[in-house]
Amino acid sequence: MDIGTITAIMFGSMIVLLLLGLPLAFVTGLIAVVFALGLFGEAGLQLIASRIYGFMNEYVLVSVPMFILMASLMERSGVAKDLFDAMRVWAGKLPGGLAIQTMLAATILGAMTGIIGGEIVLLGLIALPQMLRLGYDQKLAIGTICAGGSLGTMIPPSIVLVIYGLTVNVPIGDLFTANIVPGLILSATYMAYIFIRCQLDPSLGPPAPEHERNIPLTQKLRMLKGLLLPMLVMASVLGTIYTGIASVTEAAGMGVVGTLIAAAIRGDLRWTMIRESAEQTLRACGMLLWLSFGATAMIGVYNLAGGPAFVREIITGLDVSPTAIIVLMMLVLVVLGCIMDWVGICLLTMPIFVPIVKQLGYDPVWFGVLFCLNMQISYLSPPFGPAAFYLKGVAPPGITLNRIFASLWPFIILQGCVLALVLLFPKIALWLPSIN
Amino acid sequence: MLEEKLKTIVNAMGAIACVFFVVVVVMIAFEVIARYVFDAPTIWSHELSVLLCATAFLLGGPYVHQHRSHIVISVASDHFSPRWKRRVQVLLSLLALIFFLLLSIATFWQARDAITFMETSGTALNWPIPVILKSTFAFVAAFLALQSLLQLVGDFRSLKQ
Repeated sequence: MDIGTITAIMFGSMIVLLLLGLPLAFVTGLIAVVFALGLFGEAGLQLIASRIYGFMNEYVLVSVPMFILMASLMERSGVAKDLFDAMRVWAGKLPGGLAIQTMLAATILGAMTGIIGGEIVLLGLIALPQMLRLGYDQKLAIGTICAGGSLGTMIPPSIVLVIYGLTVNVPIGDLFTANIVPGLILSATYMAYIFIRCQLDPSLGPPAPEHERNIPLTQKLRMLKGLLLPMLVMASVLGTIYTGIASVTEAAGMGVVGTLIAAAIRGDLRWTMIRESAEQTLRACGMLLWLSFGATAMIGVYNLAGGPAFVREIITGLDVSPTAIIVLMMLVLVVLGCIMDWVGICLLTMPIFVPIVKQLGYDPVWFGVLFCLNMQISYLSPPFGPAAFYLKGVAPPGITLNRIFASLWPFIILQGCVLALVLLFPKIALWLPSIN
Repeated sequence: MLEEKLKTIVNAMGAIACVFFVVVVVMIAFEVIARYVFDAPTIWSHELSVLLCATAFLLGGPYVHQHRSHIVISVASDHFSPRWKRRVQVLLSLLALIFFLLLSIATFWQARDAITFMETSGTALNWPIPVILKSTFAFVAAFLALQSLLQLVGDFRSLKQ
């Protein structure tokens, strides 16, 4: 069988099995073992076992459960609610103020967590009812929460960047640093969008009534005080990574310790909180890692069959500019993002794409930022949009999944714009790591 | 009967994995303090954290499989009639079983080789960590195959109703 046929059958059966409803973890795993056995016999199966073993044996991977644990502990302590309340100070009587406040809170929360999910659930529970109560436009409110809540993996730390760095062998500290400015630009773009729309039509985001806005200064200060400790934890985690004092894994582990101490000082540390957080970490890791096992096995077999060289020939055979090739890759990622989870996409496509990117003379750190931005789109794009699913779980019954997806397209366009910006001006991502 | 037993084992495995995560936090804290405060880094912290986490990741597989909480795309299957949905489910369970059976064989070979040569990690610590991890992998893969088999039987039964 030639590699073109193998590619077609692999990819075709992947789509069919996915649509039938087989979990992606099993789809990739099944394709891997069947093709390994069919193409290479016993040796193929052995390759799969050793590849998965090698994957799970990485020290950097230990940071993944640490980051997830840190985020779940943070969610369960009252930090998020306090943060949201404290941001109220800024809202004032600005039209759309509450949505901008939500976005600000989401951005700061994003700097404390590296995963998507928890943040959207939290904001869906805290911010959505308040916005709807004030008479906000439902679509604007939903979009704000889904887009803002997804920033968790865009603002470092980010599990997406950890897995990307692991897959293509790029220092994760550099990736984190490179992602700061694009992450903040994305967040600022969202806020500008909310601001402009509410300026044009103030009925979209009415301000809070007078009596709710009048908060005495002492109370304002008290609201900020509760945040001091968690912010300190966040700053020290990111600080140790950027300055290179500790490895990413150690920083993440110390982040868990810091979060526990902060929760203890605030007085909301409970034994059940630790247990539930560990359980959530287990569930998240079980899904993430087994998905990775399947995907890494599948790409391993494809590798052995000569797939990457085949794809490289097709892509470099195209008579187009290097920029056009990057754009093409981004389009492929957007399409895959509609039906696949980011872990699967990362492990399946990056081993093929990144060598080409390097060959074209581009920086893989920059490409990692593009990938991360692209995955922001994948969270929101239907039919498989995790952000929408998370919000659906906690939204009032009247809000359907279709309604949520219908609210998200303006934010998807904004994400596309920021992606294009970083694509055309790589300096946006690369100047911060370069001054180190 | 067997299902109940399996559930108990899965929950126990999950509890062990949860404890491992917490232990890793403690080990990392110990390592960082030992290095920066006492200037005496350990040689075991890295390797043991990897071992414990990798084991926890493996044990998370049966846990997620039990609750059927792997990520699934339902955009097409939502349009199936209930009867067809059950039929497709039988097929999907069968495919999962095939995957885990083949994975069991692959990981069994891997574990057998590691045990035969008493493979050690080849680092300063030089413990037989590969033996432990590869054996765990084989055990978990076989366990997942058994779980899938039971799910297949269950799905097949609900087909007849």
